[in-house]
Amino acid sequence: MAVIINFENLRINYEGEKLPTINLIVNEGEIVGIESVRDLYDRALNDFFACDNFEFEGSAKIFDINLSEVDEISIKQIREKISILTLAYPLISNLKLIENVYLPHLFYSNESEKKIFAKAYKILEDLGIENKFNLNPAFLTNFEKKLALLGRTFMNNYKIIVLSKFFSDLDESKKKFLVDKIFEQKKLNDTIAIIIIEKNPNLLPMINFDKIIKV
Amino acid sequence: MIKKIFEYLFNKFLGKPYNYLSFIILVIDSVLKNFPKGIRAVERVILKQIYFTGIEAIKVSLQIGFFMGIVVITQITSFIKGLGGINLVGKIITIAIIREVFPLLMAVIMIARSGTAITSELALMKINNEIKTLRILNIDPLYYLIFSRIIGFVISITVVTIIGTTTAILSGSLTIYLIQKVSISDFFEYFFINLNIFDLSLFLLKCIFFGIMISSICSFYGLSVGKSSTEIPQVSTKAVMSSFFYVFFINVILDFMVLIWQ
Repeated sequence: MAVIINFENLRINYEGEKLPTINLIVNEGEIVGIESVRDLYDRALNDFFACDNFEFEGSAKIFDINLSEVDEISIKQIREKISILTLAYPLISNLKLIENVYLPHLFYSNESEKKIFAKAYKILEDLGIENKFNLNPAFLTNFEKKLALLGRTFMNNYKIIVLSKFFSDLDESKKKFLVDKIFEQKKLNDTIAIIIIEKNPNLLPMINFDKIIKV
Repeated sequence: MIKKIFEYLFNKFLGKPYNYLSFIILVIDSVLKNFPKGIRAVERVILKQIYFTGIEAIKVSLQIGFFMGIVVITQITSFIKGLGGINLVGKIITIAIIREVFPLLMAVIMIARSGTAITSELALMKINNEIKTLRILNIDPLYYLIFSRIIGFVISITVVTIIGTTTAILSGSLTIYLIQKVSISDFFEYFFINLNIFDLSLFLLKCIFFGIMISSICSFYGLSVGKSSTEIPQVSTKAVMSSFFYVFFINVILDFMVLIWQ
């Protein structure tokens, strides 16, 4: 299987601090856990995966694109294939739930608006929040917001899904519901790699990690 | 020393206009890079902006147009009639209402009503990381949020100013008919004889320039916010003051250009 992420002796500089060295190889379809001991590290990793911070030492490649030599086009190419699910990158507050789900799709696809709406509604139905499709994010619970982020990810064909502190503050049944939905999606496309950043990934026994690294 | 004086003068008098100009250039650049991609999403933001800035402001523009028309047109007509030159009323109303008072008055209302709304909305979006979210979703915020707001604002301010001005002329003509006994047909005859394409072009030009300036200055300040919500009222105040200054400044520039042209 192809290597899609390759970090060698990576030290991210974030908000004036240097993160511990990271060595990470992620292959297509793998499930990787990142044990992050500080909130600052989560934020740094989120921004790094989102190509929003290029201050680092060492070598970092995502989809064979060397992050030390990126231009605007390659950043767009990476962002097209990577979805970062975290409440730190929230839903757009002045859009309704369903608009949040289909916004990127509406922006880039040529499908008719009717089809896009129907597809987004079907996803919301699968996630069990279709009755709230017309509400703004302010009226949703944190769990519903997470489901909406998941819905937005399912609308597009991402190759990497990063879940950052996505399962924290949820009870076991909700965690299981989210994990089941993510793995249903993975079943449809087993090349999707999943990266889970949590304080303690071992607290997610329902996930069989291929590897867990500590930051 | 001289360099420092120049730097001080540059920052004092040209720093901000330079920033606004760079901002507008960045917006144009983002449009050139993205257009027509995502036009359906951009259209929705434009329509929302037209709804909030244009349609919801129609009532205010009708009220202000009605009352200002009564006051300004009655005063002008009574003054001119006293001098015995009632046929001049059309020319003076064209200059006062169409070319000067209403574009400026509506711009001031729009700054207070919608400019502050744009600044606070964008500032809040930035503080909540929503601007970053858009960037990460490969959606250029300058194209999706700012370009669409500028277009929506320009359309709205133009329409609202036309409505306000028309209301003022109608209410003014009715009032002078009732009070000064100047017939409505005479009033409109004097008015239309003096109204030319030049006045209408200047009227439209002012609406467009004011719209671009107000929306881009307010957006610029909205996006200039740091990380604290306490900065929102501060940037809103700055946006209002700067918008006032540049609207009056552009008004003077356009009027001077017209004088030179004529």
